[in-house]
Amino acid sequence: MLSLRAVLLLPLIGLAACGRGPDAKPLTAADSLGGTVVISTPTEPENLMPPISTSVSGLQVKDLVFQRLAVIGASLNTVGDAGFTPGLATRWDWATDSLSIAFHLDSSARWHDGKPVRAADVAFTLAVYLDPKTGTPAAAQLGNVDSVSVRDSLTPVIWFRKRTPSQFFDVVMEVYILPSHLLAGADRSTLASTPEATHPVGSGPFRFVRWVPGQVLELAADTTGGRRRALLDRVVFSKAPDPVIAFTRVATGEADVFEAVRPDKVAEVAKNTQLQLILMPSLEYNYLGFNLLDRKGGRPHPVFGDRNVRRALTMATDRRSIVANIYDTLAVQARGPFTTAQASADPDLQPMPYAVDSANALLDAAGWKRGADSLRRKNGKVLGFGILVPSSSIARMRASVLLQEQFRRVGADVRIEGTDFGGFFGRTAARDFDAMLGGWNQDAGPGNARDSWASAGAAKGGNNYSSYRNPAFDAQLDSGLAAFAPDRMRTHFAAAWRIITDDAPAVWLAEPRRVMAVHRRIEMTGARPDAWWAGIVQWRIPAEQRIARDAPAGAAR
Amino acid sequence: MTSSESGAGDWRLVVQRLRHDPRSVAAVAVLLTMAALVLIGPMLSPYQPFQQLDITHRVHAPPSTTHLLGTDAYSRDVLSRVLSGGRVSLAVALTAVFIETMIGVVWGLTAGLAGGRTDSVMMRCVDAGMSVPRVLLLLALLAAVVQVPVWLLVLVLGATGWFGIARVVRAEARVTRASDYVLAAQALGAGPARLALRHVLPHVLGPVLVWSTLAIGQVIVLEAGLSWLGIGVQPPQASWGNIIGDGTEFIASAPWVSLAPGFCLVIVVLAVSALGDGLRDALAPRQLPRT
Amino acid sequence: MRALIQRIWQGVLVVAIVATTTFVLVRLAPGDPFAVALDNSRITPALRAQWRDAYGLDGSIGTQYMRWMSALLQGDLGWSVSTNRPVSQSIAQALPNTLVLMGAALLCSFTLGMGLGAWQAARHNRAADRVIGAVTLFSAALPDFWLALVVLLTGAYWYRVFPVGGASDPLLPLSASTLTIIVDRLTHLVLPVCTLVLLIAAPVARQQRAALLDRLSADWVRTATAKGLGPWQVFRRHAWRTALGPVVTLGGLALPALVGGAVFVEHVFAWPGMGQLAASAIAARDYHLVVGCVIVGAVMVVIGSTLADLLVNRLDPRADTADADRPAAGA
Repeated sequence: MLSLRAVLLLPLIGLAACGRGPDAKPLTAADSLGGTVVISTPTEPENLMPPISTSVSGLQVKDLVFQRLAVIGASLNTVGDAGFTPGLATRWDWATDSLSIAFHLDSSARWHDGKPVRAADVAFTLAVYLDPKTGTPAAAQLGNVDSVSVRDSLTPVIWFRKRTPSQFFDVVMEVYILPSHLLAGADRSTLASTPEATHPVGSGPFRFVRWVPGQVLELAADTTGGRRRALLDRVVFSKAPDPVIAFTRVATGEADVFEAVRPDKVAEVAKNTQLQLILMPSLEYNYLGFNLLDRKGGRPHPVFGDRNVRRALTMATDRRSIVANIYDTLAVQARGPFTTAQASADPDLQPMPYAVDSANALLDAAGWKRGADSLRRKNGKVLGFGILVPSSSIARMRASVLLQEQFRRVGADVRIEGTDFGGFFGRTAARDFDAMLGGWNQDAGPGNARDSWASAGAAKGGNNYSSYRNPAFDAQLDSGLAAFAPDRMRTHFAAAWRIITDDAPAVWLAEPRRVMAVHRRIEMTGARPDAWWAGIVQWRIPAEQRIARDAPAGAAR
Repeated sequence: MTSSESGAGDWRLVVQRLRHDPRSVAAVAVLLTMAALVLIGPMLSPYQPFQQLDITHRVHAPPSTTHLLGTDAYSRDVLSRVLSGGRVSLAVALTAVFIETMIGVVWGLTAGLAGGRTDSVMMRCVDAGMSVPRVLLLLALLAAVVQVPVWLLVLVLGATGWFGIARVVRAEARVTRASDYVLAAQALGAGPARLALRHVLPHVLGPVLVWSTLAIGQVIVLEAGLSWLGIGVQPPQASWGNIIGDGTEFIASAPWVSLAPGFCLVIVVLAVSALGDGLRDALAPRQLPRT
Repeated sequence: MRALIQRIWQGVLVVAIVATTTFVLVRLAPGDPFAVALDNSRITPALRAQWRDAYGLDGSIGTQYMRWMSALLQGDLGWSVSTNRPVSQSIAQALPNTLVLMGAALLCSFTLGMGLGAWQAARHNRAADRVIGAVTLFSAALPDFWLALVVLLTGAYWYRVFPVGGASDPLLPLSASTLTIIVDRLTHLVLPVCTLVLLIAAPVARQQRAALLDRLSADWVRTATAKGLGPWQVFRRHAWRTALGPVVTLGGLALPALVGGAVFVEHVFAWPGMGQLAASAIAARDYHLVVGCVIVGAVMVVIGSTLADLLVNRLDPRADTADADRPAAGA
């Protein structure tokens, strides 16, 4: 029996239906399926083998082709498993003593060649990651994993050495599950030369189609076993070696996504009716790092060995103006070795002020007196040093030129040493520099600061290029990493950041935001600060907005 | 044989021909003007080339009465930088070409006059040098160095450009070596150095001069390209190449940064090429049939 | 025959010199192939040492050289760490792209240049000659990286006629018809070839004009003119063969470019050729790939220049190989 309301509404509905046109159909789920997204990028992965692929572009492909047991939530919480969403595992059970976690795998999970994913694959994968012959950078993160046992074909159990706040995050986010039936016989010390390193087989929502190195890498929605998770048909990475060219491709409509729009191009993107400008926080910060030891190693650096000189040089820099000049409004001033989006950040930390007079006073007190040419000298030596910069990074080159001038105003003679990327890395690793313009791209967890600034990393084998050592800083950092309660963690980290910023082993410069240009027709969802591509499986292109390249690809390959 | 005349006494004739060639006169005028500008200009400019005036408000200011060529991304005056950069670009080019001419002439003379095995080995080295694209050689050499000071840049540019002229000089030396009066001179006891200086060099001087002039243009462009890539002249020192490099990404919003040094670059190379042409014609004018 | 064998032997020597010098040069540079992950604080130098070991890049430079040389003599160019494939495969993929680009560019430039030069010579000192002369002078003065950028921006960005760089459309399905593929390749070829033609045709035209005018002023040509032949007939019957000589030599000089690619142009147009491959290999300190590129390049150049020399001898028997290097008086 039709209600009165329905009777009254029927004609309206009828009119509306007529208004949509003679060939209008009601929207179905099928209309959401389809479309091609072309990502224009100046970089490409070095290989596609998860344990040893280390570049960001490799990470993007890994996330789409492979699966992890679970995925971190948008809040980037790394303590326990709060916020994590299911990945390959639909649910998991903690043992009461937290020394083991049993994961229940998705029974419908399939490798792209059709074989089912089993617990044995998880056990095999962890064995590969933990094997020193593999040489994976993740090994440091997986130090707490003791072993993996298999309870039944769909339930691997991971055993830990001890209970730590980030034990779940460490193992779940690092490890991409590998197919044991394809890799069991491979030589682990040269995994990069196996066929799977260039033609990966995973269990993720996209399967690998082809890779023409230097040009294009293509992925297609996986439909193994009739199960399709991605709404898009294809994701294509299109490479152009010059970032300006890569951006131009998006500006002309030849490609859809560009992930690193320069500040002076923002206005252009805003005016372009075909593009949407996406701004989001990132986990990157850059800094001018001082070498606290001299270039020969061992003795304190003649300039930077003195804490007061470092503080003076920091106060001599107008960091806010530098950031504004390079990034306009698209970056915030970095305050320490952390980014605002991380849980370990301290929002109340005040950076050292821009105070040229205090800087001059401190330098005078430290024995560096101005000469007739306005350069400072001590014991006959000029206050001079070099700034090592990778010339391929426009932002860092700009920063070094701006810094050079500001240091000159307080009497320091600064040379800019621009090298290509390989040279930059070689020299920082060998500690062969005075100051260097570095940057770190962190992952969600708070542990990166330990690798880059704790005493353990100061020896020539580590990544603490400045050779900064402060046991008090180390202690606070370790306490923070061991704390389970979020407020205790934050207190310890705040104390650690205060210690290191007072010691000034670096001038903290900028936290650039991620600025992306994305084609208007794409509904982009699920982005996280550590991975803008995190939600690609849910991205969709409404049927009525599709363009030529969204048409289904030609005959089957 | 064409009526080619080259010998010490004929230089006055060459200069006279040059003076009557409007193209050469214009070229020399342009080059002298540019040289004067880059030498004196920086001393007259109110701004220093590395001075960052106001990095928040005076960035990318368009040309005006206070800044005749505007400012760049670091709020530095573009005109001062172009003039100061001109000093570096021109000095690098002149010195590098001088070096490569010296190396090439000596190499070619030695190979051509020595003959036999020595000649063969030396020319194989020249072939080896010519079979690798010069830019790649420069990239490889500069990447091997920790930091590139200007003198090293000059040296490296000079060391990679002498292959062509070595070939030319060697060919001339070989011909001369076989000629009658040289054999006679040898019979009279003339040593190889004397042979080189008195008999081969005068024949070669003309083409070498022409080649050197043209090489200046090549090297200016090459240095500009390397600096544009970021591995040539380092900041804050300006060179026309790195100013163009700084301005490339802003070519739509602030074109004056790239256009000014680009214009200077093209003008100088044009003038140098025109002068080279003029020299070539002055050294050996053609007698053409009347049409 | 003996001369040919001697040339071949000399060619081998040249390639050996080039390869060894490059080998040493690239290893002098600080840094190594595993510099990619600079931003990742978890890559320890101990790890890199392990990788270096796995790829045979440990040991002294002497040891590495011996290892590399013995592999080379068996035809193995080594493994490229930066592209994750055998060096020969990387080169096999890049070389055809360069040959296509540079082949098309050189063909167009030389045709255009020789035609222009000849036309100028025939109308020596008249208005047309002066105007074209000025244009070629200007064109030859343009910096290549700048011109490439301007051409790309004009043809693909300000006026969206051509694609923005690349050699082919990444989205073209494999099932597309041959015609579609050819058209796609041609549209991608237009802008870079235009740039190269602007850069190369000018010097060719100038050289051609100079060479022709020089030949035309030779005494024996004057004799022919005195017999009543017009300049065009003189050109057709006598001068063109000998004039071709210097141009072929110029072509020989262009061989390194043909094989090595034009680095700046390939960079701006994202053309996946040898120039790009070698430049990025140098930046990545991918030793085996750099040396591989250089060897392949040197071999092809040596082969090409030998052929060019033979051709010059056939065209102008008067020219001794050495004389081909001598500037003809007035040229």
